Amino acid sequence: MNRNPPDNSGLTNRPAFFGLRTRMALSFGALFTGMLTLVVLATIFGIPFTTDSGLYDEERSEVLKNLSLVADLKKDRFHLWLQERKNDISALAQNSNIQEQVKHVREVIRDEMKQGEPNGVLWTDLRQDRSYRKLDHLFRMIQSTYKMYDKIRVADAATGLVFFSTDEKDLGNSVSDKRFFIHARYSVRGVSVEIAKDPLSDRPFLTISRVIVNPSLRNSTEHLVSAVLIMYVDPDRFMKSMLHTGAGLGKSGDVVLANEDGRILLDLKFPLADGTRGKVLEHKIEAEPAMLAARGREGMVISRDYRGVTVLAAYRHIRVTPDQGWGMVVKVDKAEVFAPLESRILNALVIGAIGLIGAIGLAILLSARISGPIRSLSRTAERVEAGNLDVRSAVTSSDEVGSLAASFNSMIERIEHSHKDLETQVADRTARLTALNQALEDQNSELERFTYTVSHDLKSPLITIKGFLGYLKEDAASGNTERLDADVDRISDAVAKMARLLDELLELSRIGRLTNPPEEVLFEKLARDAADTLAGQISEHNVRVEINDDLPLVYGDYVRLSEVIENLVDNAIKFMGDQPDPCIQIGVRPDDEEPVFYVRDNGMGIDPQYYGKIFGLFDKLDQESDGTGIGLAIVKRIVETYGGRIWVESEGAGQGSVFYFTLPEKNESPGKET
Amino acid sequence: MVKGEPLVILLVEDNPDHAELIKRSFQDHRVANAIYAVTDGQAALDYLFRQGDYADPATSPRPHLILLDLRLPKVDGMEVLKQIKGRNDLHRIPVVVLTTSEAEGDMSNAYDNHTNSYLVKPVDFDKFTQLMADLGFYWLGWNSSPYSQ
Repeated sequence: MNRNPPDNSGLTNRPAFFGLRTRMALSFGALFTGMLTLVVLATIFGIPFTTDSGLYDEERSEVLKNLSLVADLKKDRFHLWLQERKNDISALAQNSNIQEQVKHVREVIRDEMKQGEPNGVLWTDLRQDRSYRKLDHLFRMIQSTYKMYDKIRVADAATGLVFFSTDEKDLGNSVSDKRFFIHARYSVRGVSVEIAKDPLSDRPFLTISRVIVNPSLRNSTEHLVSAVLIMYVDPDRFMKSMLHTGAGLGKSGDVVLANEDGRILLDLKFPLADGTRGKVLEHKIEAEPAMLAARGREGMVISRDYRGVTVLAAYRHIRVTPDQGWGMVVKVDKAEVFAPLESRILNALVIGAIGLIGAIGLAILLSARISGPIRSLSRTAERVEAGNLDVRSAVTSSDEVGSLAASFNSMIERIEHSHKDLETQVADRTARLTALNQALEDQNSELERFTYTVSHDLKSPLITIKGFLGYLKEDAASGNTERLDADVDRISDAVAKMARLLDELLELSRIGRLTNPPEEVLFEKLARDAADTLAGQISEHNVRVEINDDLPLVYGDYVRLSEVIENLVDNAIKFMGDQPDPCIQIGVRPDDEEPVFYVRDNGMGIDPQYYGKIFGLFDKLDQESDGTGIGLAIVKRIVETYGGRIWVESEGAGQGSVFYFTLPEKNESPGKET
Repeated sequence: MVKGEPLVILLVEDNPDHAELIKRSFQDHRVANAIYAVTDGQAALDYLFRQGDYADPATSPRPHLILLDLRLPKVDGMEVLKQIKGRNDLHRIPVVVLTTSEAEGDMSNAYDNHTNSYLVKPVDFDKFTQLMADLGFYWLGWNSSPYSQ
């Protein structure tokens, strides 16, 4: 059988770096991991080229929207608040009573001034003035009502001299060089809003100033403006709290207010990048959102703030007065804004990692499910290749793999069957060959033995004949006749023995060859015929022969079968010894599976040690007997030719012996002599 | 050979005619004083082991030579040879196998079992008597044995 496999070495003989299961697990794992990663990324960053924005963008736009809202809210609130303040001051400045009193106080001071430089006495006296006291009463009432204004001043419009103040120490000071004074003085209807700094306390404050007109000169353009009303608001107390308190802005939520120059108008919540605190009206902020807002722009931006920290910022322009604007920046640290997003991303990653482990597990499970039957099939194939045909692959599914396994199993089965057939045939033929061989060997050794014994047993009488002839010759020459007759008898016996030997050898050689067609023979008839044939010897030795009834049919060659009985009976007569009542019984032993025939005598018996020897060719136990030693050999040979067995049993010497033998049933043809 | 001591031959031969021929040859040539003949292997062993019929040493003097046929009833000659050569008190006795068999196997077996000689009975009468004479003179005359057997 050609066992060379087809040349597919490029495919099958290359060792796989990983097994099927590992490769499948890796593939599935990579697939699941990739998909999971994409899903997580899409969740966080959105899907490109679509309207779906991820968590990141959502969070950013949410924060920016929030910032924008807060910024707008603050801006509106601030505008409202500022408008209220403007309304306050306008209402006061246009109050005729106040106008009258201011006018009156101014006149008092003008009168006094004509007498000399103003001095402390003047201001002390002034405070006793009825108009001054009316103003004082009124403004203090405003203060206590609104709880908003630190102090309220009135300065002369022409000189800038402060001639009324809720804080008496201010009386006599000049504010002519102050922006809030100048702006208010030259903007007749307008209200000036300024942030200035108290030189003494270095504290910033918000001023709202407006001119007060002279009621008596209402129709004249000259000296129309008599004074400037200035109301001070502590920005810490109002604006700052209002602006800094940022709902929903978080810890880093911050509001920066700067004027058009970029100088900060409120204390900064955080220190500058160098660790110092920026001073109000001195520190010029250069961060982009503040600059943009101060220049009148509004919007949102992600940029760096005054600390250099990246922030999300909404910047708004606050028009304080028609010719003056501030920039407001509402900002929050990007880091803080994205902290929840980061934690969400972290969560997503953790879930992703758990999912990944699950995915890998699933991949291993899946690949084991898919590759398991294939691997089992492969293992089975390997074992079959190794020569074990008893193995079968488990058929676990009805899919292609399952049907492959089933086909494979039936293939092995067929191989196994043909193997078994072949083995049976080989065993069969081997057995037949062995049997033939054995038969040949048996025949060969029998032939050897035959030649050997024939040469020995035929030579023996020759020696006898020649020897005694020699002595006859010598005796004849010397005339000695004493032992003549005896020697002649010896020669005669030896010749007779040789003749019989030759006859029996001829007979023995015929057993196998001359077989008449087998026929059904009554065993009883065989026995009776044998007794008739040997009638002479039987009567001579006075032997009683008993043949049992109910003997079965046997199947074989009548002539050969009768030889068996004759030889056994003859043998029994020869070894009867000196039995006074010799008896031979022929019958079948009951209670056996197959009929066991016997020829029993009450003669000399046989020592058990000679049971085997007696059936040998020319083997005689008793040299005195006149047998040739061929008779039992012939019996054995005939019985065995018919496939039967023969053996002898004896109670011992003097106890008689029984020869047992079996013969084939009718439908068993005798073994063919080869 | 010590004078005055009878020379004993044990003849183991199942064929009485052959035994007679051997005895006559020996007597004609005055080879031995005494020939004890047995006809089967068992009797030979009984004689040598002094058992059974030969239990009395007077009936079974130690032989100076054993003539042994191979094909014997009851106990085969080869077995007898094996037993003799396996016994310390018997193995020095010369054993001459005297048989009709010229089979190669018989010879090898006999020598393997330490036979001292292997002789095939000649069919010719003169040769037969001559062999018997030579055999007697050689083993009982020329051949030396230790004093104590």
